[in-house]
Amino acid sequence: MKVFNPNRLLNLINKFVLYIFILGCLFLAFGFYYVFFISPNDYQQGIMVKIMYIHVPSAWLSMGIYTLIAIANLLFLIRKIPTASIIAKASAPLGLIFTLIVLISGIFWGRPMWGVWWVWDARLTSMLVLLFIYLGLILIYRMENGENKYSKIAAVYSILGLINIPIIKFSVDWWNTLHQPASVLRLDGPTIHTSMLYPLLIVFLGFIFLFLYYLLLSIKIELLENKFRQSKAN
Amino acid sequence: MNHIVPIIKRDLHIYFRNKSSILIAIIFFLVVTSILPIGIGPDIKVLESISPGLLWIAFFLSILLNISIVFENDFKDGSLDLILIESELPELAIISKIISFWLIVVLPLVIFLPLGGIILNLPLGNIKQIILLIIISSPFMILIASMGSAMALRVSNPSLLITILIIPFYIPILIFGTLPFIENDIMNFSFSRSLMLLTSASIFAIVFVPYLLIYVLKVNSD
Repeated sequence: MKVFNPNRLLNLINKFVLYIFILGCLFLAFGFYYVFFISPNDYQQGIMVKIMYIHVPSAWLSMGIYTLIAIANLLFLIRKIPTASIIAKASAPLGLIFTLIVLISGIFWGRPMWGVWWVWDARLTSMLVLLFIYLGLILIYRMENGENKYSKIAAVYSILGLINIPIIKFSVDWWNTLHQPASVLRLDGPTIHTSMLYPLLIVFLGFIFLFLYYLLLSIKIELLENKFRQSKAN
Repeated sequence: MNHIVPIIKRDLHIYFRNKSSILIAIIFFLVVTSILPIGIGPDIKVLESISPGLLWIAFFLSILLNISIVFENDFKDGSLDLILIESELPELAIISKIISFWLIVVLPLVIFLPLGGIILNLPLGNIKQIILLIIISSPFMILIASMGSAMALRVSNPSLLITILIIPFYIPILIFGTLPFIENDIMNFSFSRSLMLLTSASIFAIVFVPYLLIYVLKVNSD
């Protein structure tokens, strides 16, 4: 639990943030080179399959970030670690951005492939619900002015909203949807061909490092703001 | 019982002193249901096919825009703090406050639901089923909505914030509440299935939400 000490966390961030950014850029550069020059086009979708390499990693990240927020908030409520709440608060806008990327890239993929911009099937609707939950969470976080009252309320709200994550994950199995079922994270192994799986995973790694970079930066901003507030109060 | 009844009596007394708070929900519901057909157009066939969803949404909105009265007065005059501190079982006290809200706002709304259904041109056979579904899922709706009102206690204009915060949790209810009345070939979703799902949602909410409510109220009142 020493990581949660604010000063130690600031030191860690200052030490590693640049390397994480460089790693993310390297992975993304190599991943997109792989996607556009080595990986084949799909025999049905043609060039449009390239949207998948942005759509799928950001979908995984948007759900993962929400789970991260809920776990951090559980730590905050149970173990009373204030830094965990700061991590959750810093991740919420990033999760919102990734959810927006998923929905918008899905819209541009759906128009040529399905013939419609948007359908009200289970996966798309539950993703939209995730967007609304992120918006509500950010609204609660925006209400606070240095009080930790609202961060506790936001913690309860985020834990309530966690019920949506398994619904998103299994919506394609429970209901007959237009959205295709899971092809990578399956119990019987991925059904996607390796020439598309490897670039997907590399881009995903790049997205993770980029997310970590922005997360660490916004945690740093929050910690410095807290310090500033404390020094003003003294 | 002797934990619940006195609080309900007191709350009903307070609500009846200010009758406009009871009437305003019903009037809002009737105004919304009568303005929807005007916006959609007088075609009876179109109206018939979308009226279940419209009835549900009108009901949602008249609950969500009124839910802030559950804790507002008691929070302002400080009696909510006393209830939380003094009472041996604050969960029961909070539940009885919610029961009195149900009696004073939701019950009149349910009585006026058939009228709303007639305004929206709902087939008579479906009105009974929809009313049953709404009554069954109303504990879930009120408990979750009062979560929102507890979260927004210190906000100056809470109704809109509560609506934004709570609507995501109402979407499953809206889906399962309207599926039996929508003609779709993919899923033959029967009425009894959605009745079971909504009942389970209500039971789940009754078991778990009061504890979270107490936590949020305590955070907000200290």
